[in-house]
Amino acid sequence: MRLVMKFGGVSVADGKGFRKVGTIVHKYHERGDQIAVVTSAMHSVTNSLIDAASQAGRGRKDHVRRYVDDLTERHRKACEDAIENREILDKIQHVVTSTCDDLRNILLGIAHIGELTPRSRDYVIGFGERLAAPVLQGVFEDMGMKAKALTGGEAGIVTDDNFGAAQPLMNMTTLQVRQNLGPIMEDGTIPIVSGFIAQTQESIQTTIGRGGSDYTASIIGASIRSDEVLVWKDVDGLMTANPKIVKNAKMIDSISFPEAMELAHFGAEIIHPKALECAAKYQLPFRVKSLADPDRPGSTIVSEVKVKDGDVVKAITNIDDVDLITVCGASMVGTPRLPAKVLQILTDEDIDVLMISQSSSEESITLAIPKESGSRAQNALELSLLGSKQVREVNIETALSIVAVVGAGMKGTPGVAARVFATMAKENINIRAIAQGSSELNISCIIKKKDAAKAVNALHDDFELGV
Amino acid sequence: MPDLRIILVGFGVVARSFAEIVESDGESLARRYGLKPKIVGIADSRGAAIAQTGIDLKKALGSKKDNGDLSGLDGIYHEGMTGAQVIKEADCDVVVESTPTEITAAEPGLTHLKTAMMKGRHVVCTNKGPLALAMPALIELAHHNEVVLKFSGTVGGGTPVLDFAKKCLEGSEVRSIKGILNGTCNYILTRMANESATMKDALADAQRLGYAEADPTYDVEGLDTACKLVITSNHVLGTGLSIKDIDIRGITDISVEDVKEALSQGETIKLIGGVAGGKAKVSPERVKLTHPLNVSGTFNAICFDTFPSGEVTLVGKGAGGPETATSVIRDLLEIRRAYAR
Repeated sequence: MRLVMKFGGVSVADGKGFRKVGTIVHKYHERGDQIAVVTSAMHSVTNSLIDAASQAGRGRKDHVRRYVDDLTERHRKACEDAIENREILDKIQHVVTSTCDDLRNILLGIAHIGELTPRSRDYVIGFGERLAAPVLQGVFEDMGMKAKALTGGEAGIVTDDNFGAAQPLMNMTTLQVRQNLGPIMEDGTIPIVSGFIAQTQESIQTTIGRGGSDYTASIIGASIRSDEVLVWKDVDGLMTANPKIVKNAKMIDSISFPEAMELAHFGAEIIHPKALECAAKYQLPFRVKSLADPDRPGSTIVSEVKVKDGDVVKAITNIDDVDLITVCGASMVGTPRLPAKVLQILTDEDIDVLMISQSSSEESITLAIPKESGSRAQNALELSLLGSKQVREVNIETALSIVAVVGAGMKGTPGVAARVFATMAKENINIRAIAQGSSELNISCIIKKKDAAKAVNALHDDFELGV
Repeated sequence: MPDLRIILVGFGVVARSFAEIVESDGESLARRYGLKPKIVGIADSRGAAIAQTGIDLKKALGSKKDNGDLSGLDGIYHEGMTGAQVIKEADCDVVVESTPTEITAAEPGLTHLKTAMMKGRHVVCTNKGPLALAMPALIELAHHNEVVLKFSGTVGGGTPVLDFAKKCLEGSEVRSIKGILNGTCNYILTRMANESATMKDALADAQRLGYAEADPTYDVEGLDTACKLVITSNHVLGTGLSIKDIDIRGITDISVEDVKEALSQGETIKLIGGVAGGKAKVSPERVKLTHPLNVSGTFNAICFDTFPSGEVTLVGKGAGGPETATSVIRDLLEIRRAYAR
């Protein structure tokens, strides 16, 4: 089998983690599989780099020096804990130190000018992955495997120059990755690709957005035509509900890409939606595997899942802490530009809209907004719309949650919504707003936050999802 | 009318024929089409010449003929300079890539095309290798860099196969394509059918007449046909094929007896590149003697099965320096029109 294995920041949080990754990969390697590994940065490193970049942009050289010293030390320590062979250890620590020296120079350069451009920011925040890959290479070599660390760009991933969220040129990427990784893998070497980072055609480093390592795994998998992408997580797999809320939540064996994307949008960010979209396009099966229990089969995400009779709902998810903003005014009727204007105002403010509903009377538009940007959204809308005669008021309601039921089996099955509402009614929970996409993959309700746990549990029981 | 500044990467038969046309017919091109090509760089496998004011083509052609390289262009010649370096260093509007076809990694052509488009140059490519291997990627790169990538000369030589299918058949749905795309193979098979010549003798004659290369593998094993099939299928049917996706069988195991048996049934054997339902293959196939595809000698023929118009067959010479050079002119005109300033 040809496999891509992706390890997130939690799996490589420390030397022990790196070693564990080695043990897992070794097992598949022994079995005769051809493996490409994609790694994230060590846990929390990317966030710290983002912070360091902005500190440097403000000219804080002392901060930069301290930061890079700590980062070097952390990676050198991880090497010491994970690599036994003295020679390999020296080699990898040397790589770590010189990479960190590069980073220090760049950050000091930024601090010196006092300006952080998107391009230099992308260069800085990719260092976490660039440091993690060589450490893994050392661990693999220490365990007797042949391995080679590569940046995303070196692997062949080429993107546009939209720094911060660059888009891969997929045709060129698949061609180059196949050319670069194919021969190495045939030879029994394990390529270790730094996730999250890529480069433009001019070889300038870019990043492909948050959750980028999953995306990298998808891209590599699609390019080398792997049989499966294994995503190793600190959870057992995809669950029917958040196990912290629902005691008897159970692992989902198999789920389709559209369903998994719905789950991903609803906070269960096990795998980034962009990665799933790419995988779906290239019909590349994903499997979520448990780091704690590597022998468990995990959950598979595949193109087509047969819906069993009566198996209408796959999972119940919830997003806590949303605000509901209602823009109302009788004269909104027949003013088609207003909804566009409302969304434009929020887009300009960079505010994420989770859910939209408008009654057909057009008397009001209701928007669900994450709590942290709720009052900012209200402010922006009031400032822009209140003088306009069309809008009477902009209301905000806080301390709410979105609860969603997700499942491909809902499509064309009458009565699912009725069941959801009946369950809510039985629990005496008031529904503030509802949305169902015409794909019928999910029904979302907005309820009071204090009722959320109760609602999720009741729905989980009613659709008999538990063990 | 501004000059169209051109770099020639590869200075073989096609590029030299093109240079001759520019040298002798330049005025007519300007008068008839408003096209004023100015060659500002030429690279072959040994070195390169760059002159932003324009290279003396007579001198370049003479040097190539006498010395086998461009060293006669003293002052502007750089021994050992590569095509990629010229593309990076010389300022131009269009890069014409005509290095020899190579299909395992398609180099150095692929690097030439990537570098040219990255630098924002339009590209005319007569080298089949890069397109046969990486056509979807190259088209993506052209879009990304907002440049025109033309490759009329890769299929049919001077016969405008690709644009005919794409432009003239618009409105009809092309359902499948079948073609005789390699002149050498068709010459050999024609000699076998008409004169009962053996494969070996026919091939030797083809080499003597200059139709076939000293190493004919690439033709008789069907690889050249496969390259052209990939390019035609991707261009006309929108498939995303690479030469690695194709089943290829050449004509090496065809005997005079096979051909005779076919003839006795009113058919003949031709090397056919065909694509239908997204599946492409190259293999010797029987063709009815009365079918328009049954062309003789070094001719090429390509048959588009269209709906609702039925079969449309285009016949013409498939290769040759001057013929392919006219396709370069065609492509340059299109670039000139798209970017008239």
